[in-house]
Amino acid sequence: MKQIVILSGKGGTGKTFVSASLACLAENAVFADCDVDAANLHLLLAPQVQETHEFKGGRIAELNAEACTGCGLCVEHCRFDALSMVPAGPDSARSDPARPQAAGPDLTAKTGTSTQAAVAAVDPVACEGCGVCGLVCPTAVFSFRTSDAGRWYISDTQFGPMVHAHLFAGEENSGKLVQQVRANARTVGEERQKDWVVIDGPPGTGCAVMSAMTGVDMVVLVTEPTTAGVHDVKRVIDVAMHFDIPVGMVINKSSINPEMAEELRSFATQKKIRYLGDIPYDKRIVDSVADLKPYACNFNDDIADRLKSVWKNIKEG
Amino acid sequence: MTISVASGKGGTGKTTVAVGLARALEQEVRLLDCDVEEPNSHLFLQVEERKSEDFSIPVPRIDEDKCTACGKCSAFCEYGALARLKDKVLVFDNLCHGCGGCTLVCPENAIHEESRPIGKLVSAELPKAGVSLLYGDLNSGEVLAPPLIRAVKRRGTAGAADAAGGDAADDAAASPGRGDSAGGAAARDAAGPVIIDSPPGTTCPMVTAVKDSDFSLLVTENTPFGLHDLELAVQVLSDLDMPMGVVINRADIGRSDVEAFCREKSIPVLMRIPYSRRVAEFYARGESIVDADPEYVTSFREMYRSIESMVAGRDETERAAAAAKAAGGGETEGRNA
Repeated sequence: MKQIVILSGKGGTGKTFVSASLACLAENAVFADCDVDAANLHLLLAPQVQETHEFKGGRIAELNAEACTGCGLCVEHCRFDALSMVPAGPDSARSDPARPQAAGPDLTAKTGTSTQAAVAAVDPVACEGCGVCGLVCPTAVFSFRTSDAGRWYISDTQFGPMVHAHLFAGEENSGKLVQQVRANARTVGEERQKDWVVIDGPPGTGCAVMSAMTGVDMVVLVTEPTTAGVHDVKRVIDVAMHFDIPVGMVINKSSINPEMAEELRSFATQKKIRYLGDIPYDKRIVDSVADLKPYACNFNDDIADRLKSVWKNIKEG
Repeated sequence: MTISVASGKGGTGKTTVAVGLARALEQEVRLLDCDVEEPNSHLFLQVEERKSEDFSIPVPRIDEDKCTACGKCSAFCEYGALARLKDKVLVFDNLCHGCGGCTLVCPENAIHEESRPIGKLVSAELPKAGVSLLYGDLNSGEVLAPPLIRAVKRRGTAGAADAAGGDAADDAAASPGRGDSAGGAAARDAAGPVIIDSPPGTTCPMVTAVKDSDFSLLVTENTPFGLHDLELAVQVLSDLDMPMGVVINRADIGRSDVEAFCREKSIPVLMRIPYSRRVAEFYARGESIVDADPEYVTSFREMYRSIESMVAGRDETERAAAAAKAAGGGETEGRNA
């Protein structure tokens, strides 16, 4: 079973448009949407969810404000700016323990004021769950819970099975969720004897991107001939080469700047990147996305032919 | 005033709007590019000279003479950055978040910390554009975007507090590390506009970037992807109780229900940018929308004024609510954005 991941660095270059077409062209494949922040592939592939699973994220500190003496040691030791002192009283976090505690330092409280009534408050977004606050607290007010950070799904689409996910707002550990989506896509693929895992990757170059690309057979870059597109795709190429993964490149919207498209092609040759083809900017593509139709299997025209040729080039490796 | 420019979906035009707005305003603007995985604002500002410094996080170093391989440090580490072998402890630098817990739990005092660069803080003064730019640039292969985003914001807003002088600067000095929200309304008025170019998405890096802004602008496009991701982003900002407005880019292509969604949620659509071949060509070459079409200077200034009045109105409402509460002492219902 071979795995390919579609990446771009910059968002909005057409990753999902290309992924959906590759999904419908790939015979006998399983799909994985690893853009867990802002997943879109499901909009084009219309999956029927078969299984829903919880995703447990990292730990988050919670504190019992009643027992806090306001000594401030935790604030001093937290390296993630996740703790601050807030005035104790009906407005402080203790009034409603079910709600996430005051997000961010409270503007009404001056940090470091010496009022005895001050207690510590956790900013759950900034907290990285390291446990240092619990270590330094003299009165053991801290406890740690594992956050309910998202969901992942195994679904069926008309083109084959799909594993996808949604990471809840403000959560971290997207890399870990990407790993889970990929691991489950592989399991499904093996169970159902698939030949391909087609992965729609996240934008950027960070944690989630690295999780999406490790161990794949090819990184398929969808880029566009713009200053920002070129700048960002080069960063992804650096990361892929760092992991020694073969790279292929598709130039989307190639007609908006033919000179820069040519530069990208020669850059690909120079870096020994497999050039997979280009797709001009075309209103028909915009319309196909608006109608939620994967292009290559809904139309029979020059653009569909170009997408088919991209898939053929990927298959040939 | 701090305005963050965000979007759920990538590639909708965040940087176009952030740079356009920064260029258009008459005041000197601080532009903080917090998309540290892909900082792009500088590409549209013809930056010639820039200052760059390493941004580091602390990583543990183990004194093997003192280490007894007791394993307390590796047991404490949440990130798997320390592994105990039979007679020593290994450190995996790229897994370390730099919390410092291992140095605290080590009973032999065998761990000290060293700085490890994970990215760069880059600044450029662009007096002609009326922009002072600061951005974070995460090194290739690094994963810890949020600390670098916090550093960009801290540097950017602490400087703003200095510029404002007085109490705001004192506050920032009294609480280094807490510059994110330094100053409040007074500093906001005195220090001039700060514009934050946020990373895409709706998770930790995006929230870290937009948190503590006075207002968030969500840039979207009129496509099913744009709408779907806008819904997610609106949810995040509502949870943060953040006032927001929407900019629809390439508003005349694609057809979706972005406008209807905004009406339903009572989110103002502050600007509609129609698709223009000329703007797209300028963008492709790395030039700003205000160079392609100077009319946008007026549009951005008008948008800024409406944001100012919305933020002022909200301050007013909050003061009134606080006063009412102080007078009545009664419980107020939860605020729903």
